[in-house]
Amino acid sequence: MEMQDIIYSLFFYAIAFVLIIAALGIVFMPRIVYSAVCMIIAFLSAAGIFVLLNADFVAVSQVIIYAVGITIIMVFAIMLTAAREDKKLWIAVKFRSLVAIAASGLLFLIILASVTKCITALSSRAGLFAVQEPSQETIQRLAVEGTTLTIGKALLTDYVLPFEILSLLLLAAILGAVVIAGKGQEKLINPTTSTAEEEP
Amino acid sequence: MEQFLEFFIENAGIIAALPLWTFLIIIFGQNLGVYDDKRITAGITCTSTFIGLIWSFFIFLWTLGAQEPFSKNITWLSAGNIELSAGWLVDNLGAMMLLVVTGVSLLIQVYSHGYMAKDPGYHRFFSYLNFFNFSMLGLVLSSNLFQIYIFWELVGLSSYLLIGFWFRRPSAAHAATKAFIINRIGDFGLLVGIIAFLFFSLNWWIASGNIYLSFTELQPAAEYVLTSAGPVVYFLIALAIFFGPIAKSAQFPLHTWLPDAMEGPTPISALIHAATMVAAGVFLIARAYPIFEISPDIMTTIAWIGAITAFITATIAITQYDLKKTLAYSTCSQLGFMVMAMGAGAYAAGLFHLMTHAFFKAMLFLCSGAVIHGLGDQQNMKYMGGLRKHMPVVAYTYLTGCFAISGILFSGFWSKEEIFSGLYGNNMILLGVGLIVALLTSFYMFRSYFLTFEGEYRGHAHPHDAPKVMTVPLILLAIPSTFIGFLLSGVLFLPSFDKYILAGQKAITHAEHHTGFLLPVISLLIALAGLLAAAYLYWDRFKQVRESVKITADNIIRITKPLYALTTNLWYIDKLYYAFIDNVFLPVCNFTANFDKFIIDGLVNLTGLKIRFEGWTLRQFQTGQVQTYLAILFSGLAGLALIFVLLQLLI
Amino acid sequence: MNWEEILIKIFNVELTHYIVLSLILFCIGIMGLIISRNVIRVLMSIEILLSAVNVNFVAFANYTDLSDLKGQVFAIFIMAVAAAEAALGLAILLALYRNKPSVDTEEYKELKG
Repeated sequence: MEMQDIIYSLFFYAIAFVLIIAALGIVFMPRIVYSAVCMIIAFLSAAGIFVLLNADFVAVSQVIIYAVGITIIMVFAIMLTAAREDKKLWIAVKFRSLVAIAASGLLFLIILASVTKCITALSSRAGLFAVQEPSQETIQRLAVEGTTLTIGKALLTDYVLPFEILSLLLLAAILGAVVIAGKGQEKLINPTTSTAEEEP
Repeated sequence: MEQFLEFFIENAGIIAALPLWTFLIIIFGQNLGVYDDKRITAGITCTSTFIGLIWSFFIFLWTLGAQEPFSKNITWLSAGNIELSAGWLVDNLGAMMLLVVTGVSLLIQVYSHGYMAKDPGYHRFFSYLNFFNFSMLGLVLSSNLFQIYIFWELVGLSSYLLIGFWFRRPSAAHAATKAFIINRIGDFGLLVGIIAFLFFSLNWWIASGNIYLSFTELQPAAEYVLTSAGPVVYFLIALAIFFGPIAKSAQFPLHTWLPDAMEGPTPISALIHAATMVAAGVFLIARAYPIFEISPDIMTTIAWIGAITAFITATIAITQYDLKKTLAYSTCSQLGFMVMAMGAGAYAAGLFHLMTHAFFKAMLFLCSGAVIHGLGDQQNMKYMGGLRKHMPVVAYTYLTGCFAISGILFSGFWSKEEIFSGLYGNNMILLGVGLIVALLTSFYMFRSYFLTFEGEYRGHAHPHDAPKVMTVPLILLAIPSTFIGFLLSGVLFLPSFDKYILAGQKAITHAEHHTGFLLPVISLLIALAGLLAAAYLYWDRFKQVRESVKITADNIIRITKPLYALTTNLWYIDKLYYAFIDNVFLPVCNFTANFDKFIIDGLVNLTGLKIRFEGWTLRQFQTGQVQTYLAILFSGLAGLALIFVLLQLLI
Repeated sequence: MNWEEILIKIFNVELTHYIVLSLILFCIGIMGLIISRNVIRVLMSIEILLSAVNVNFVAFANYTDLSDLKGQVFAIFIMAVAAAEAALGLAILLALYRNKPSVDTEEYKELKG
């Protein structure tokens, strides 16, 4: 065991710990704003995980899209929906909560068991998921160029059709968001004004 | 002249169509508000019936010179090798009935114009009346057994409508329902009989190529059925067909509807009892005579049913105090006479009595209607008496009718004498029953006459005489009631009724006539005895004699208490029926209804309940809350994964 | 199994560790999706789920396919779709909020026959 591996693993455990704690915080934080803060931490630590996995471009994209873009959307959502009933909207005290915890725990255990068994079994033979040692050339290339060039080539050659469809999807999503959120905006005001008129 | 008469024969269906058209005119004219004058309704009704009468008269003239009956048919329904036709058949029997029906109905319609003048349902009454006429004339003109069944049902329907004419009275509605239901029993038997007859004779009709079930070909068909089905089955078929006349002509087990039918307006009683409804039964026996004739068993059955009816209803009539009910039971009794004559083989005598009876019974009913009308709807004879001074025309015509029906020289005498002579050669017991019934007839008819028209007035209303429009038909009916029997009996130069009727029916074997003076004299003496007994018990002139001898009606009633109770309770037949319905029929119905309701439906509902329970269980998961669905989804996923892993471990 | 082997297993980070990490994230996401009462928190849970998938993709790309990096391409796709999803989620949330001024998931239970 080399020192490099130990440092790598220490980094991994630290970031993974933060990620899991932050994810749990998203779910269990009593106030929604704390959840949003936890979400930023979770996304940033996910970017750290990506860095550990030699995915620099994905890590940067993660920071830009998730940690900034989606977080801003969430904060907007919090602001626009007036978080006054924040406190009581924590966790549903219902039967389904028990079911959910049990189901996710069971799922976790089962998949954990199968994953640990399967990966070892699969890696023992040269199968689909066999862990390959990358060639020296590839390591060299990645060290010099990073992953951006490879991803860019893939997106504009092999995956150009999904890429274009994705752009269409984003366009449709933007238009849809505008239409859904903007339709009948006067109704947003009417209930409050009408109740204000009725009160006196 | 031949061609002129041919025209009427070719278009004989017009006679039946005329009342139908009138019916439609009145219905639409009234409901669409075209006219509102009662005289228009009465005018078109009487005109159409009068045209029918003239038409019938020409048809009658044609039959005098004709050798073969005339028949005209169109195919009405063809299914497989069964081909049913509709059309008309004109023969001597039909022509006679046409004359009687149109003649009597014309007079009754004229009378009704006076009787119903103040009734709010005047137009409705006349439309029903026309419908009734249409049904009856169609029945008379029918060319085959199946067509006659259709009109048979129409007659039943129109009698239902007319008996229940004052349907707001519960008793009238009840009587109409009773008449209809009892007629249904008979109609069912008739239908079964016709179908069974057709079933057994189908091959014969196909082979012969005749009109199916045509009356002119009934005799060979009946013989074919007798040989192919055997005597027992044939007897049952004939009995089923005879069930129709039993109900329609009010014969013994099913006679109870006829007295109740008195709830209708009196002209309707006259029409039902004289010309149309009950005559239909006897007419059907005459039409289907070839079927009955070849089986001696069914003939004996018919004769005995007629005799039993005649006797039972005559005894009931003696104790009735309701004027119309007395007449109703007398109708039953006379119909029993006719059926008895038919059954004993005195075919022409039965029809002769049917014709004479049509005239005098119509007149008697119209007289009773005039009395009831004049007394303000009083029907009980206990509150009558002495009406001869107030309404002489009615009294004398009623007296004529009494003489006629009792068989004292007027028309009833001649027809009854023929029946007796027919019975004489055949069955002496039946002859004895007939003579007893004749005695009873004479007694109760004169009893009703003395109670109603003689003595002191015992009621409270102020009797007033009937208007002209009511008395003129009475007088017109009194003429045939008096003379027609004598004229057509063959004594005079005129053609005899028997020869006329039998001319068209070559196949019918006629009972031998006893010619002699003994039987007429005996029947006349018996009738006179009845008259004297009635006069002694109920005429005021014999009051002193009665009181000195101490034999009065009350004393006789006291002595014969059980018999009296028997007849006043109508021989307990009605009570028996009601007891049967209450104690057997309705409990069985209730049981089956409850079985259906609770057991069968219960089983069905139980399966439904199971589904409902399952639905309820599943509905608990359908909260409408997305997260619940997600929870179910993921627990399902976890369960599947668990199963997968467990399978891996086990294998 | 002695301590040394255990230590080697722990400190030699491999594909299995990343898969277990993404599994943990996935289970937390599912739990959050179901037990939250706030609609916004539900949306956040969906993002956690997507992140878990992303981690998985990138980990497989690193350990089995370092030359082509297809997993990373898919991660990019997923991010774009997640961004669209978040935008639409916000729009739908606003539309819902307009009809029923609440972010409580218990209030939205019209999805039944």
